[in-house]
Amino acid sequence: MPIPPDVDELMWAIAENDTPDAVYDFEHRFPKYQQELMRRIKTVQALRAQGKTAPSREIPVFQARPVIIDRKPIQWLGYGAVCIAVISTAVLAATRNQPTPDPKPAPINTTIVRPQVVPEIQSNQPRVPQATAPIDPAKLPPPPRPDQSKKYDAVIEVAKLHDAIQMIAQISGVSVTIAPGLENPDVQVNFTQMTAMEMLTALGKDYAFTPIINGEREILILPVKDDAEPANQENELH
Amino acid sequence: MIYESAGSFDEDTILVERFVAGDQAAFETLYARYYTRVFNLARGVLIDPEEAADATQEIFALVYRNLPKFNRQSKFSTWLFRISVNRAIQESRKRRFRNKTLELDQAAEHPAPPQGGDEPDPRVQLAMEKLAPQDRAIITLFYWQELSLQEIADSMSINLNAAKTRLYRARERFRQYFEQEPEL
Repeated sequence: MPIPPDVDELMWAIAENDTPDAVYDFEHRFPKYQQELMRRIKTVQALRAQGKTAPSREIPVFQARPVIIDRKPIQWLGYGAVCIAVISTAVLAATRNQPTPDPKPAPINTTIVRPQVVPEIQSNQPRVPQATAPIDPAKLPPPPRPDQSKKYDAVIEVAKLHDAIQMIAQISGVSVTIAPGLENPDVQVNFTQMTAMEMLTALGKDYAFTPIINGEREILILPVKDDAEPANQENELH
Repeated sequence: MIYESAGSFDEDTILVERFVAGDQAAFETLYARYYTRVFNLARGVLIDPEEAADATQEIFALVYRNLPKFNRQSKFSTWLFRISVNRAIQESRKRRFRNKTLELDQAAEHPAPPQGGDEPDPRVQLAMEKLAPQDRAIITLFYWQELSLQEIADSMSINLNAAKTRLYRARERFRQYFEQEPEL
């Protein structure tokens, strides 16, 4: 037969205070829970005693160790920025070198020229094919595929949960979509040598969400937990 | 309790200010003041004293690097415990799959007789090992560190009701596992 919640709470309170008068009173009021109370008193005593058995350790000298942070994501960002800059410069240069409109334009000697559609308003003027960038998009290097098995360190002192999720996703080069309904409390993140997915899974256990891989470049964050433990439920004690 | 008494809020704040201004000795004072408490917290979560000692060093290394960013909106000790809890849980998850259980199982098969009051109780240790790191953390904060529920809530970045609920559940689970272990 289950113990009524108020009696259960009372037993824990008595076990934690362990005052003989309270024990005596309880045993007279609820004689059938006498054994149960004794078990709780034993449990609490054993727990507290364990805290007191801490080996007396000599405090070691503190040495501030450097953090080894994987710089590769930052390097990739750098390469990406350089690629964008090179492509932009090429596009700009090509645009500036376009021939001015001429009734008889010289034929452009390239096979990569893509004519732009000129609006119909200017239809009384001669149409001139305009060159865009002399770059074949098919020949552009593909963006680096995110390596989702790569492990990183992540330390965020205080941030909103949504921002922390975005930051974690960012370091592994994937985008993240947060489904509506996920709370956005302040969080602290401190993960060492874990993949972004492992970090998000660990964070999800604490903040009641489940990260789901959606293709190679996206993670969905659902405010649902598949763990049996509802970590952040706000149930009151009975 | 066996802990050194931790300094007051004002003393800690002054030490933090001094450290941020470049006084390394101020950090060493904070380190000496809180080492035992952080170590005991880590030991509660990680069980193994050597792993706890390593984790304690890592925690203080983190604190050392991040102290200039400490916003002083909470007590230093609360901030320190928050880092400690997170780090210890993190370490515990990383080491969960290591062969720790085997050692404890062996210990359970051949339990050493208790030697005086200062020996850890293998039943408590085995029951703690079966708990999730978060449960161990809250039990350690409440029963070993003797923090109030509000302090625990602040240290775990949760609200008071969530702290109550988590403690209640952790304690129930601990009791279940503890009572399953045969008495010596």
